[in-house]
Amino acid sequence: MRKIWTIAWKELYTTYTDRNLVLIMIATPLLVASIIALAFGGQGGVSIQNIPVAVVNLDEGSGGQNFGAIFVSAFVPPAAGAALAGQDAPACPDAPASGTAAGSGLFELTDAVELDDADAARAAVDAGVYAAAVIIPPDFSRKIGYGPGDPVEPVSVEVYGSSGREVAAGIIRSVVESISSQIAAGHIAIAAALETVGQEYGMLRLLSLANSPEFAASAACAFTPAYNTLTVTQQTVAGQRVDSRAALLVVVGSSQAMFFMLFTGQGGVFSVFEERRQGTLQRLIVSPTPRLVILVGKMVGTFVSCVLQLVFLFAALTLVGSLISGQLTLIWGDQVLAIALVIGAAALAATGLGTLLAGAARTPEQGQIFASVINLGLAVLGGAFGFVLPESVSRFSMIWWGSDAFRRLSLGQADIIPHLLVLLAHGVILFGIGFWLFNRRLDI
Amino acid sequence: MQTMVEVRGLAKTFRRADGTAVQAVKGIDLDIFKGEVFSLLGPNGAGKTTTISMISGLLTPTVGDATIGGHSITRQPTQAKRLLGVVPQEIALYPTLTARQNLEFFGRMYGLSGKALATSVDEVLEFIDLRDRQKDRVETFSGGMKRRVNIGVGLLHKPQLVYMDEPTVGVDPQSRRRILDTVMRLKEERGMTVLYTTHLMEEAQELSNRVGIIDHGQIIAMGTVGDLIQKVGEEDRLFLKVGDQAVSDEVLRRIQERVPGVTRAVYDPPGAEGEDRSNTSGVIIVSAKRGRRALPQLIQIAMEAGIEIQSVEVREPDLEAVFLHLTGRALRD
Repeated sequence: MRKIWTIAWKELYTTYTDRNLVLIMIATPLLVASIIALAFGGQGGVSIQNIPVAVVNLDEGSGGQNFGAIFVSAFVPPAAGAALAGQDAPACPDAPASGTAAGSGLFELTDAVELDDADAARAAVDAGVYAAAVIIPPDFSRKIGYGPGDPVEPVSVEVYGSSGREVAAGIIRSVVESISSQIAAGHIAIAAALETVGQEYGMLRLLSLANSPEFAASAACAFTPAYNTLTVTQQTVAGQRVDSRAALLVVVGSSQAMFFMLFTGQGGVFSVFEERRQGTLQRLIVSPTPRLVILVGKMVGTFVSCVLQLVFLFAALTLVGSLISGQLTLIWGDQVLAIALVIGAAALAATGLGTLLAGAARTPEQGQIFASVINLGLAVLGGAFGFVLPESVSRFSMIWWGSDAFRRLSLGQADIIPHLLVLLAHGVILFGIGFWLFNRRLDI
Repeated sequence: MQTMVEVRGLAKTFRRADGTAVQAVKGIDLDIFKGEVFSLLGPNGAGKTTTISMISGLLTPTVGDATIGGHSITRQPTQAKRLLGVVPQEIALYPTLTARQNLEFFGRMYGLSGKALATSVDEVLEFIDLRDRQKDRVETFSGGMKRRVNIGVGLLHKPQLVYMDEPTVGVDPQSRRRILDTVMRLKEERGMTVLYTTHLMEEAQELSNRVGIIDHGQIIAMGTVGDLIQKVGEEDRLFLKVGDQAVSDEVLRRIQERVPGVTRAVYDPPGAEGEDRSNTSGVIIVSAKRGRRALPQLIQIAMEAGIEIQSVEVREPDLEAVFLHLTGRALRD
């Protein structure tokens, strides 16, 4: 163990006493994030209230009910809500006032309008009119049918976000996720209830009851925000005043930090090639130090380098954010343990990728080419270059998983378990394969 | 004599990118005794470094094994490596660390720590005469100073066996002299066994108790320098300069007949393209088994013939000649 720390300490010492390297590792992403935040973050403090949103309900309804209208009623105030063609949102007469969308502060958070053309809504988002468009598909109600024997089919609600207003678009996406969760929960509860009751009273009789418009109308209330306390998620961000430049610092800073950390992760492991060239690796191998210890020492050093890089960067960005805001602002949020866990998981993923590339490459030059291509690819996918791809694509990049987790934590959200798991899986799997490949190449 | 290193049937085959096999070392047997300086002599590409790399645990042998102090390098590598100090040919140091930091780092890799490490580092800095520069980064050192630190790292843990791989390559004559003196001190003052590889026969001849000559991955001869020369039957050559005096065939015949050990006597007159490239003086060249012993009688015969000997040079056979004899090639080829 002592030898592992000796090697790791040497790695850290040589890395952090190299001024040029430190400049690339910390100063560059710090500068990039600060400049972007100052240039594109707007002037002065602005509220994240009144986020402009377009809601497009294409849902054709099913059984006389239109569940897509739940989204409309959640975002669009009643006066502004356009009439649905022959179908109404569930009417729930005894809904508690505090549980309504208006009561949860969602109407204050957003400035939503309803449109009927999805393409037009997307174009308006692209043009910067709206921060996001929420598009409910035509078969939404049909696919979330809750009756016994109804086929279970996946259905998705599209949130088309503006690449220039990531924070606002992220908030809208969170709101949609929350409403979707309510609908899913209601679906499960009612389907289970029907199944149980059906066994007792006979399925045919129950189906006839369940398909009646009266029952459907009442059951549909179970899906609405009015009967669900989960809407408080939005309340945590509603009305909060955040400097838009500080918010942009989080988005750009986290993706830049993740991007530059990939280079640190690779540089640390690639130093094995340099050590082989200068003969110090051979010297280590002929010492009574098992190869495993040499490799693990290098990995530990690289991992700690990555962690320190993120910590220094986040501290510096907090300072920049505070200077911009004019007061101490914890731009990354106050969930210190969660932030530390994501930093650790992200550093492990970067070290794992570095190990894999170092193991796969036959020469340092080949490794550098692999690294450049992969890092740039991950940066494009993960949104580190300023444009956002659909989330289903971005999920292929560890940069997205890291920066999205940091963004969520900065917004006070705690739902980062999938992010942690994905980053840890990246680290363990890539490290395992890389280690195996690397060990085969150590016979010098 | 106690054996320090025992090598049996050691072989290494490399695979080229095109899949063909290259046998770099072809089954070497070798014993190195405690306290001796053993030189492995051979031209570049002969298999010296591959052999030593296997003995030091850097390369895994394809076949065979080696033991250091009784510990197998393949089955007990950690124990075997503890007894071995390595001084590689290239400067294997971290340039951005100071001399002391380098020594401390590698000392820890050999299991030293605390006071024992500090004491050992101080002793080595003293030994390599770099105490006053211990806090300077290695990258600021001259080539000779780097060499000394490079040697120092190999001595930190007081190994029983020190392997030095062509440590004088590319150094100035002063640094070279210092390195050779260091090797002698290791043997004489510390009683260390030294395994020394070189392609410079002068070094092998000066330092070694025994020499192994390696070529094409095989040991082709092994023994003391004297043994090797005797084995190949090389003779001394004596060059007797006589100026422009004439030397008759009768004199040459008398030398061959009357002087024990002489096998040949020839005369190179002035102006001839002689072996010593000196054509300003006539030279009698005599080949003899024991050249120095023959010298008084040679001078006696010359004086009897009225020939005045102006100067005498005795050229003893060397390892270069042995290698040439064994392989038909020069060491530097």
